[in-house]
Amino acid sequence: MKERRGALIALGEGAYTVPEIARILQPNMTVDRVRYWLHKGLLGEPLRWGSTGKPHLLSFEQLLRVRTIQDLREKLEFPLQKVTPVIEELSALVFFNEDWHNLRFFPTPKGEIGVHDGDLTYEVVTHQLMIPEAVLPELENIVREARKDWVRGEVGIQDYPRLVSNPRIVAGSPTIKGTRVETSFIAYLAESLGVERVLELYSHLDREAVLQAAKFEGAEPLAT
Amino acid sequence: MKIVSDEDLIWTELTHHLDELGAQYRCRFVALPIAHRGIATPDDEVARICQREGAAALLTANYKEFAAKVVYYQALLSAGGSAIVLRQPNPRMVDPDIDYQLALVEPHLQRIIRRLQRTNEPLLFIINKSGLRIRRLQELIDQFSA
Repeated sequence: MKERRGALIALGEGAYTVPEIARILQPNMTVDRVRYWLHKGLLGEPLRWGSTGKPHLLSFEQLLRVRTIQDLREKLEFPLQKVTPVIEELSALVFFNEDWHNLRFFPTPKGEIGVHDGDLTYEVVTHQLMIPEAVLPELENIVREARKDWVRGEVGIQDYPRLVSNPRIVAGSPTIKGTRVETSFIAYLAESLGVERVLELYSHLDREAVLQAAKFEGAEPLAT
Repeated sequence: MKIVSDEDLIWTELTHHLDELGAQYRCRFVALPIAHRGIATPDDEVARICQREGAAALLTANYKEFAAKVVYYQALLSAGGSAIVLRQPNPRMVDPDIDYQLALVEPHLQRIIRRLQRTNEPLLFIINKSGLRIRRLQELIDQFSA
């Protein structure tokens, strides 16, 4: 008799494919970039490595980690070699440190990430103690945003204020905010049936939410 | 027996027609109640609602990335519930309105209900235009582990 193993995730945990992460973190994220970071080990072990016909599956924490790396690279222009050694430790601080509220982040003179934990100030990657320096608001914002979304358990989608990904709702599939309705299905219906018909079927949705879902999915609603 | 439609398929008219179809097999179709407008019901709460309602299965739809979605269905089954998934065709091929969804379900409804009546084991029923496939939790787990 085969050994019985558990399900990959429990209800309430999210599971994300690489293309899904790229779509949620659009417009600047690409499938190739997420895949590269995954294979370089920046994202840690995925929930499951994919193979032919089976996609890689990543967690909600890894989705937020991708966004943090993206922000460090693009907004603060940290080169990838500076981000690589620090991201594991940074994620542990951001997502799992109970004394989160005492933490302050800053770039060191060597261009690394430093942290002041209310008591000590040290470089994240080497744990080398340092003299406290001025906190850089943008770096603070990046890590605080990641923490906020982690605690809230939901990530918004840039330029689509009515859409979210929440690991507790349909395992993190992009949905219309405040509903269990997936953007992919609504966009599909809008493309096939038109927006008016979708609004008839879902009396609790409004036009703007349906149009955002269609645009996000690259669907062209049927003209009616 | 009762089957609960998830929020993606809570279309009033569809639920009504499914309920009429199911009546001959003593199966009721009900829409997932939306307790609080603007607050999405979490997956684990949906499973609890199904249990509380004494529902035998959750009816839902899928259009995209089914291979990734299996992990979600796996979790649903692991929580003790069955699920019926209506896989949607290419929108250029058909008009996936209520008549299409009904035509998808109707030929298989009796078999699904009989199977649900005969077992307490959580099952995944996948319906597409080619037919019905029934998958057990262990099969889904093996699919992911292989």
